[in-house]
Amino acid sequence: MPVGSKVKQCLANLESAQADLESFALETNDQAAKQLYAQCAQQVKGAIEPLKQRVRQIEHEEPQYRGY
Amino acid sequence: MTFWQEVFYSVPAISPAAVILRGLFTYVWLLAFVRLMGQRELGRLTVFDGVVAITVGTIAAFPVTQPQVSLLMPLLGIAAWSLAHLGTSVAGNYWPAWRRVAAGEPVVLVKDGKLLEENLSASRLTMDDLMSELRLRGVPRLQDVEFAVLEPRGRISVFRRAETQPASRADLKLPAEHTGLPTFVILDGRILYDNLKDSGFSEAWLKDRLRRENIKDVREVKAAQLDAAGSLYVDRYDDDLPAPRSRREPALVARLKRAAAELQQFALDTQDQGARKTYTATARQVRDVLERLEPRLETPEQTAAGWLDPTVEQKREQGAQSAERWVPGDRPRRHRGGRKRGG
Repeated sequence: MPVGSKVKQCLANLESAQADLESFALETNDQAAKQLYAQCAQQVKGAIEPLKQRVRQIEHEEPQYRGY
Repeated sequence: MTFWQEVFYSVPAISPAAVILRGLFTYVWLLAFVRLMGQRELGRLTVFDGVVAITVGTIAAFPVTQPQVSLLMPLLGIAAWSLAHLGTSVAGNYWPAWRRVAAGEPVVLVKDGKLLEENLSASRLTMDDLMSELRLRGVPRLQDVEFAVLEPRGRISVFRRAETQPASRADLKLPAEHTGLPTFVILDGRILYDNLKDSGFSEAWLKDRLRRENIKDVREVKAAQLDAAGSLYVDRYDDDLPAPRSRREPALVARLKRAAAELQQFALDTQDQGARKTYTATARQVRDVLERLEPRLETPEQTAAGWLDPTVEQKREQGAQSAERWVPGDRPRRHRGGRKRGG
């Protein structure tokens, strides 16, 4: 099992990517681009949900990594 | 008999060159007098306008087709008819009674849903004519008609009864934004400064709006239409250009790529079956997103300055890792630690 902090870092990375996609969707005036960004943001959001659970599980199993 | 006599006067026979010249003369003459008579369109003529138009046209055709007719007399005739007609129109502005005689009056055909048969027959209109017009206006039932009026220019105007009129924004108490008359501010790649000034928006504002649409040069734009509310429609020459995208998109794509690679690594490292599934599934989803985003980057702009080169970040990271690894004494401890946490 990889180090919990690494997984956490990866999760944070993906969360910030999702936020970026959402802000791109808001910034653009092009309808097609807006839709694409919004859909991608949704997809990333869906993808990180299980990862979040995994992080919670790691924290539960190995409490010493909590709060990394 | 000289050539010019052939053109202007009555002669027994006429050469083709003279016919062409006669045609050009009458054309210019007609154009001048039609302009003088006013701007009314053919479709909106009164019956008498039509009569004048046909008569003048016939007079103009004579000298071109008949050599024995002189050119000068028809030109005078055209001038006389045109001026007389102009006089009639001008007189109508001063004496309403004369206007009614010359141009005719509106005739009410239907009033409060009831046919006025006398007016209908006096206007030489049949029921079929009226019903055809009503159907064209989308009011097939006489009972829905408040008014139908035969206008002097020959068209029939139809008014629905208030109950059957479509609801307006005011009826529904909906807010209505005044959009004004939209004007072109860019046409054929050039800014129309007069229109832009009238619209109250500045050139800087327009250029900023274009930048946001990823347009760097006005010459890329075929037409840009602006309404009073500031809504700008832009059509460019090249409609196939990729959609404008964020300047930060390449950096985002790089981050997503790294995340996908990391997830793949986690999946390889873990012993836990459930965790492996989670990592693989997440990695796949991230790659899905990448596949949707990446085709948009395959344009010349990818190499534009100011865009983050993904390899730079990777190199920096690799450098940091190797530096870490070469700290004496540190590596074994970290390595042991890693092993202990693993599995």
